[in-house]
Amino acid sequence: MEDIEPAFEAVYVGCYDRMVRLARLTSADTVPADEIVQDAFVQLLRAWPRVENPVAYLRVAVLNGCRSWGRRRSVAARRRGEPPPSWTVLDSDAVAVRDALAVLSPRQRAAVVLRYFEDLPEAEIAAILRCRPGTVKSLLSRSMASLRGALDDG
Amino acid sequence: MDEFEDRLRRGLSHYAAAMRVARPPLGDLVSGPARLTRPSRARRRVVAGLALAATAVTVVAAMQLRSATTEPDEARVDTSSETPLRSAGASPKCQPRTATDGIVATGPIGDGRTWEVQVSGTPPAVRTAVRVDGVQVGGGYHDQISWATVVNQGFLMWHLETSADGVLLYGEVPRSAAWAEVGLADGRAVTLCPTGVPGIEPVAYVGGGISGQVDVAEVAVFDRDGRQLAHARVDQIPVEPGEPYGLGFSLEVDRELVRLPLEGDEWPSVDRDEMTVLASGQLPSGEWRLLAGADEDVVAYTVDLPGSAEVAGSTGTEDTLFAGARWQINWVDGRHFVSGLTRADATTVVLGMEDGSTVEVPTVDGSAVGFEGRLFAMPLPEGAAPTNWDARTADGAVVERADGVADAFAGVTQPNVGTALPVRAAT
Repeated sequence: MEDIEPAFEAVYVGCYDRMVRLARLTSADTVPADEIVQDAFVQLLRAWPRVENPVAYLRVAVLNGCRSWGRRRSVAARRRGEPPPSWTVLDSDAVAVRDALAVLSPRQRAAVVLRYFEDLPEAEIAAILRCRPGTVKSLLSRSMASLRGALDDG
Repeated sequence: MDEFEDRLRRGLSHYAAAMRVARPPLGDLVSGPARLTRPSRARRRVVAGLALAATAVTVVAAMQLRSATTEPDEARVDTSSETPLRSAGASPKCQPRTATDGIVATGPIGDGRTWEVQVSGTPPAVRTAVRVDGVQVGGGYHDQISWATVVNQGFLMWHLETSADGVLLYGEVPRSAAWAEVGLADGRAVTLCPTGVPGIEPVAYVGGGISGQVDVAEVAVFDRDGRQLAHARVDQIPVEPGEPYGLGFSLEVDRELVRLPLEGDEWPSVDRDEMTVLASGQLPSGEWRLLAGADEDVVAYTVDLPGSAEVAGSTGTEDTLFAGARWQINWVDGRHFVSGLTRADATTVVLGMEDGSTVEVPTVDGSAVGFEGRLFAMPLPEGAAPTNWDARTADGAVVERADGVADAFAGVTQPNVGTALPVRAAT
């Protein structure tokens, strides 16, 4: 194993699981989250000397990875008729949220997950999604309206 | 926090907690197969995007620029709109611009040298040339299949070329783009303003020259509302600052924000997944493959070369393919790689060397996949320097040949540099 700074290892141990969950939540589990997160850590390691906020870097890398993968995957899935991935057992809240998230667009889903799972402020979400804070506000507003409808229906 | 938000947070938390996550040992990530010791999956994915985007033959010549005599203490940016280097996050001010002469960007670089990017042709045969002091140092061109990936799938082709004088970066953006932003590894950003070219409706172009030794980290394209239309991380590709180096990469548009096909009708093309592998072989860096296929409108063939973003091949009707330059030379693993299309009665392509020796390349029948001709692809032995190139029937009769063979092979001596020769009937 190459020499790895303890600080990097600490980020890896501390953030890996959460990044996998972030990938799965924002993608509705349509991507190989582990691979994308591992890629993100590889990118982080390469960029380590110049990265000031590793967690923020990872979030961007993971979301970019999901988005890039998701487009190709969706095309391939339509063509080949692949079944959706299997799931672990969920409680009723989790099932309701999972199903509700499915009604959102990928960008809306990312905004919701970053806001209500990662607890990020709108400005930081805007930086990650590369849009204006007002756009995030609008995304969240529309998303919440959709989610209310979906969760209430459920 | 209202009750609904609380329910959402709780549900997300439960949902996430139910996910089983198996974190591999860090050592596996760092030194395991296909990780840091080889290109990461992230990089491979970029290359896959390139392969999708580019049967476009990237013709990127290493820049022959003279070395800077002093080490610049600051990067300098020159673009067609004279946009200065700015801090990331500053507001860009690009005005719509059309280049009737096709010169979409120009400016100084290095020690008083002038670069320009010119776009010419009509879709799908769109060419890009980058010149420094009037001498072409790189560029690329689209054929029907690569143009189709731009228009139909939103894969935008970009090129980056480095030299001791700096970095030249140029590429395609959607027409709805207001600006492109080049993020440097040091945190600064460069704004590039789009320029349209009459007759090329689906995309506009940006270009920029950055003096000094800078490391480009990412490229993003935005609309006037600041929404990100396309993005690519560039630090996933090994660029060597200061060394003459060229690469092509693709930006994939956000399909929620950019309507496909871009600004018009879908271009006919053959899906790569529908192509058949007609020949393949091994090189030191991996497998090469010759694929071909056809649909109702066009036929296509392509050659995947290992470890290279460069893809040889062409797409069109039988008539257009046979009328064009169709014998291609590429460079991979320290040797030339030849490929192309020949007549249906030509069973062998023969490359003759100056010392009288020959290399015979068998052709494969393309009729099974819709071709009326035969195809060939093969790496040449290291050091082979052909001076003659012809196609022969089974009884040895020469039926086609290429001219200018020696010069063409001499000009292709590094990865990401390729050329194609027109072919004429032997008399």
